[in-house]
Amino acid sequence: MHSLNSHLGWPYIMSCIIIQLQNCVQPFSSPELSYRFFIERERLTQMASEEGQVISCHTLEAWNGELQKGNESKKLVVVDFTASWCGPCRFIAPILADFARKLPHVTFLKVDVDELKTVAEDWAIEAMPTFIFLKEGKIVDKVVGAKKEDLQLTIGKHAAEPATAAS
Amino acid sequence: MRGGFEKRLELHFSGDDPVIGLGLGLRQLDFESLEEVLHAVQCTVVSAVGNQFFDSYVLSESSLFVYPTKIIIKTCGTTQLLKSIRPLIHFACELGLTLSLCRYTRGSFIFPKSQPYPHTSFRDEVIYLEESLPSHLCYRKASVMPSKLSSHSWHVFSGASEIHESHMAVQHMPDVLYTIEVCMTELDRVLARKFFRRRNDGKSCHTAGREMTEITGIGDINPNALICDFAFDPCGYSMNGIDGDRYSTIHVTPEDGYSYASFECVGSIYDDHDDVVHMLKKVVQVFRPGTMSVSTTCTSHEVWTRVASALEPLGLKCRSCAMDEFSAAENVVFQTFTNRRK
Repeated sequence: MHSLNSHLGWPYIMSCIIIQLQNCVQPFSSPELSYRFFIERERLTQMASEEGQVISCHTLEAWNGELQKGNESKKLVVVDFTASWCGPCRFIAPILADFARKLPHVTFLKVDVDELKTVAEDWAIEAMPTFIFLKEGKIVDKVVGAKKEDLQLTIGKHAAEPATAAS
Repeated sequence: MRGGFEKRLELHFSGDDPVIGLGLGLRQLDFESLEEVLHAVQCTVVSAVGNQFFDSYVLSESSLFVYPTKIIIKTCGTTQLLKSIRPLIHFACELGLTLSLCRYTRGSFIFPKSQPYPHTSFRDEVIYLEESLPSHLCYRKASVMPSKLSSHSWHVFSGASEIHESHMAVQHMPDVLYTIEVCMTELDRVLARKFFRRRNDGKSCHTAGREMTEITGIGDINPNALICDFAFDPCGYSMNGIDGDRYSTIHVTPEDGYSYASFECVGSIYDDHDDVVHMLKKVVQVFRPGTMSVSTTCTSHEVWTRVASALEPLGLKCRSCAMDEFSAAENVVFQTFTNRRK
């Protein structure tokens, strides 16, 4: 499996993705997905310089604000419930940052479960990291644990339609 | 090569700060350090999750659990597990933690000749352990616990410091915990087939793993546990279960001829004893092994006596039972079972 570590640099990451797409290897073997990633490749080559990032919500106001913005934009919103003391969260953080850079049409939010305790409780977060996928305020999917491949596929599954609607 | 009997290493640490156990301790280790340790052992992380008590990692070759003052690594195949000891001691030291207990256990390798140094023989492993451990771990003992089945014997090395010994006497927390390590061979062929993936199934390793958890009944072993599962291609399966401060883990290599599955869990002697009986029964039902060994590490005798009574109604006959005492007053009881049809 390719490691998308940031120290390898953007050109390497790009070439890895393109190689994966060309070979149509395992994770993208369904035709629908490979089509989506074809679109994605086109987009990447055009927007490689634009940087998306994971937005950390440190206060309730910031969280509610971002959530509302996400709902209105109809974009896919991926919320990463994380904790500073959780090793697996540190493992997935650079991977998520990488996704955010590559997928500007998806909003990535980060909530520290100790900072925003009430939010974590309301959303019944018990294990970290937990990724909640939202569209127009509705939970459409959930990934519990640092699972790069699952995260990639779940984003792929939900990102396509609103991406075209929003852009 | 993946699979086969695992090697298992458990390290306990203590710090000058008496409340360190309540803090983060080893969970502060940055991922680069952890990666360096895993690199020495030739493993990578495939899936991970944490809760308020500990971090759990499914590795390309088995599992890793990180508690504030305790670390457990289990690796299979031809990995060089013991090479993780030195870097772990080093990184723990940077966090102000000192090693107080080291326990290394393994079964009998299916292909002993393909094992690299220091796993070439138990003698080599013990020499390597002796050299890697700091001198303050002065209570040391190595033992090979036999069984009537030549292919199943249990290798144990234990080293503890005086701090750990006295710690055990005053604290009531650690000594109530027990560990059960189960190794199963000659799995039922029909059941083992469920751990094979269909060619080009188009699923992610996590999705395929989740399906295996469901169809095999692994999900029912402890319904309260959150399961991190992973299916290898073309076959094989790993999972870590987290339930509060307890972990459980299963690894399967289903290939006919050398099929193998392992199950490991921790419990407390204050738990309802029916829980462990229930779990062991479920495990047998998932794999229906021809041969099974159960190693119980505990300071009390309460637990291991339950094992045979749990397994015998399921058609497994107890063939041998060996007992040995190690540092920190820990008893290891090694029992083997075979299917009555044999």
